[in-house]
Amino acid sequence: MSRYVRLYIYFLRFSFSKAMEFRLDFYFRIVMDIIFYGINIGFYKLVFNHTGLLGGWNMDQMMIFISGYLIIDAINMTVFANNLWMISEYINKGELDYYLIRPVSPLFFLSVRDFAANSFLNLIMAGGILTWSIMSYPEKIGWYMVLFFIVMIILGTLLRYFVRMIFIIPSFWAQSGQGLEMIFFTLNRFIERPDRIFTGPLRIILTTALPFSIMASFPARILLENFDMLLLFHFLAVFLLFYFIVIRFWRKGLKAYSSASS
Amino acid sequence: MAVHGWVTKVFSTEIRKLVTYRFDFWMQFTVAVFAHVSVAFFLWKAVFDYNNVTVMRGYTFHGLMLYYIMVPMVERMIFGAGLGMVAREIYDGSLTKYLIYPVSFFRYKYAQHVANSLIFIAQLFAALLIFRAIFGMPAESAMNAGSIAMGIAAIFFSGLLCFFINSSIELIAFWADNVWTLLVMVRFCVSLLGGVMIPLAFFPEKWEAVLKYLPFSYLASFPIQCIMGRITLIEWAEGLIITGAWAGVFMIIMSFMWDRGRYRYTGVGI
Repeated sequence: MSRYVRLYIYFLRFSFSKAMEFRLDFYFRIVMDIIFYGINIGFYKLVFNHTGLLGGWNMDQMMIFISGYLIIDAINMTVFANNLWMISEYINKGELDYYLIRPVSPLFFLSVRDFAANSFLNLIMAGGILTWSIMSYPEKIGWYMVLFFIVMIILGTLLRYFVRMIFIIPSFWAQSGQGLEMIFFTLNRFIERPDRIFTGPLRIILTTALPFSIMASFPARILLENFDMLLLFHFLAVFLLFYFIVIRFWRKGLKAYSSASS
Repeated sequence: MAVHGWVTKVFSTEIRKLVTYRFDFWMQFTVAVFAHVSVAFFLWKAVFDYNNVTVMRGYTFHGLMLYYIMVPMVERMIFGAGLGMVAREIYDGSLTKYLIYPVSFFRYKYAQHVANSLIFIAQLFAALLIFRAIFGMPAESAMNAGSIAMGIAAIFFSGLLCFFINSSIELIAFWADNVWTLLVMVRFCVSLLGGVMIPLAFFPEKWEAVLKYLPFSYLASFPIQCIMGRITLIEWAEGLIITGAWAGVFMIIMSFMWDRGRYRYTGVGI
């Protein structure tokens, strides 16, 4: 374990020095993420000009939900995004060998090697939006509940990572993984809407097989409403299920990897 | 080579590239429409149910769904091949080959852009026909052959505007190491201020009046409103003039940057 921590510290050092080398890109990314946050908050402000409740939440509650999914996006952009984008290309071009011969888990190495230092500032900003929305929330929220919410949001981020990997791993058998990845990004927008607006079979799919609707919504529901053990159990069960699926699927994929490009 | 000769070749190459992975192409289309429309369906159903009304800001629920079904396709037609078409050539040094082509670099790139847009027309019509067959046309829709023709003309102008905006930004690649973030910023602005996430009629009136003069709405909302028959002939002409004016502004910026930037180009790539 300590070897992985040491290795990750090296990744961080390298990533920060790289970010400082490309300063213009560093600032562009910060502005890009600020615009992303702005349009997400702006969208809900517009919607709430025409309704008092959405998915059972008012605007104050919605702000906490929004900050939850902005944090998920920020952690993903900081820790995973740069790395996951490349995996299917490595597989298709037969360039995975470099990662397979390292004395660490290839999945770990491939998933977190490139830390996006420029997005790290945005993670702080997303945290600021969360703090502001909790401080301005009309009812008092206990600090332990906020802590619990943050832990669940981190688990939600990992769940998003597992689902993303399930869309990447078929590259071991396909000629191009880009199509599936594009599909993932299209489906990703379900994270940004409260789960309770969805009904019928789509709701079942979005809370089980493609669990985008539970990543940010369930943590917000646990924070804002009466503590629901069943909701927490559902969240953790889906999380563990996807964890085991990814591990098994990845191993199967590696067995199919021939090192030759397709 | 005659103009129509190389244009035909560019068109056929681009279309072949797009349909090489046919399954990916149609799958992405289906999922994009499904996700966009289902998110909008459930969100607006909740809003309409809460207010217990049948019309909001001139849209029935049915009409709103027609709007949202067109958004991903019209957006793809306007944005064409997407991000990095010009910047990539600068970064990997392959711009050199275009400099010795017997046609202008930007004409060649624009032909690629139009070819990429054209294929999505088929998808737009397929989606409209399916929508009409299953749900019928909304009561407020005045869609007819004339409105569709107005919409196609608007898409052509919007595509040109989009090409000039994107090219102006991508030419920053002569000076900067990475420009994709700038292109993504434009997409973000279009998604809210251009009416992708929410029709502009739902903005406060003051905002709507300002947005009319900015380029964003002409990259999504305006052509859709034309196709849906929600625009009068005068508003349509006004819209095309504004789109043309913005296209002119960005064409000047693009030419200026090309003139300055290409002297910095080394052909080595980074």
